[in-house]
Amino acid sequence: MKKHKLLPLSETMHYILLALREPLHGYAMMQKIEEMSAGSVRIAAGTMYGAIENLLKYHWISPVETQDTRRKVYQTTAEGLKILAAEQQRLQRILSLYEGTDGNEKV
Amino acid sequence: MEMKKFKIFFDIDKEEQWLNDMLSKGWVCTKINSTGFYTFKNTTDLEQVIRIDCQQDLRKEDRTNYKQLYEDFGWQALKEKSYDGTFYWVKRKDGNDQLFSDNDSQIAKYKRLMKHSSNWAILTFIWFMIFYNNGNFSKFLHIKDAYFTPGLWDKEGFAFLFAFLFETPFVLMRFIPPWLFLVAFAMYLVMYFRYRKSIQQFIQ
Repeated sequence: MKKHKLLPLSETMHYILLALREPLHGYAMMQKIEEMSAGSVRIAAGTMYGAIENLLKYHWISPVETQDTRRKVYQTTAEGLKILAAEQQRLQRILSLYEGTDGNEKV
Repeated sequence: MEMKKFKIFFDIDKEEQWLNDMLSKGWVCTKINSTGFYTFKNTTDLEQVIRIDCQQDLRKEDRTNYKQLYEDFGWQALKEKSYDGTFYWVKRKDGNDQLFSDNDSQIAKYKRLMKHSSNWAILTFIWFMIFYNNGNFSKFLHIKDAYFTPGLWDKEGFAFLFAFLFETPFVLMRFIPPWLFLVAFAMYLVMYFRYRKSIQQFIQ
């Protein structure tokens, strides 16, 4: 299988998909991600806009209907959640190598 | 106090640098005209920063959403409308003074610029091809040859002036295409190498 352009997920994409498990607009996403990363990831406006456009293109997130007509609110789709699950597996594998808990290979 | 300056940039990084240099000298840009005229106003607030973004493919319905997001992040648009896809954003310095926070989005900006300039190069090339027929290059080199009215140069007085002025707009349409194409192609090359440079700059 050909590898997807956005995989493995970049730090920005990873945090956005995780944050959007609940519906949020761009600025709220940035705030939530700052909190989730204990202040280490602060996404800038242009990066946020581009990332949203990119994730929309692949239907990993989708717009959610709200009262606010100026700000669009988004949420991670079922497909986006599948991507997250696959990434979780990949990262767990790497983590297990760090920790030496992998059945066959000890560090 | 107001001041007007005329300047043409091929590199938006240089333009951004220049606008920020002006700011540090107490001149904040208030108006930008696409033909190269910048209007500055005196300011005592030196703690501001200007950033240039390019979004040529922004559809009309996306524009409000795009602007609202940047405004939420504290940026103010320097001009309301953008005909060439460049947006100028100003904000008070607060430690988060960049428009882009990761390498992918930095590079993507230069890729958008490159794509935009290649569209212009293709467009002007098509225009050139429409007027380029049967290998006749002389009308592009000598503007006189681009006038097709029979006996135009033998006419005199009012008859000459009328025929001359009447045909001139058409002549310009015939004469300009290859030159426009050359300019557009040169711009494309500049943007292409800028894009390549950005990949090296941000990835290596």
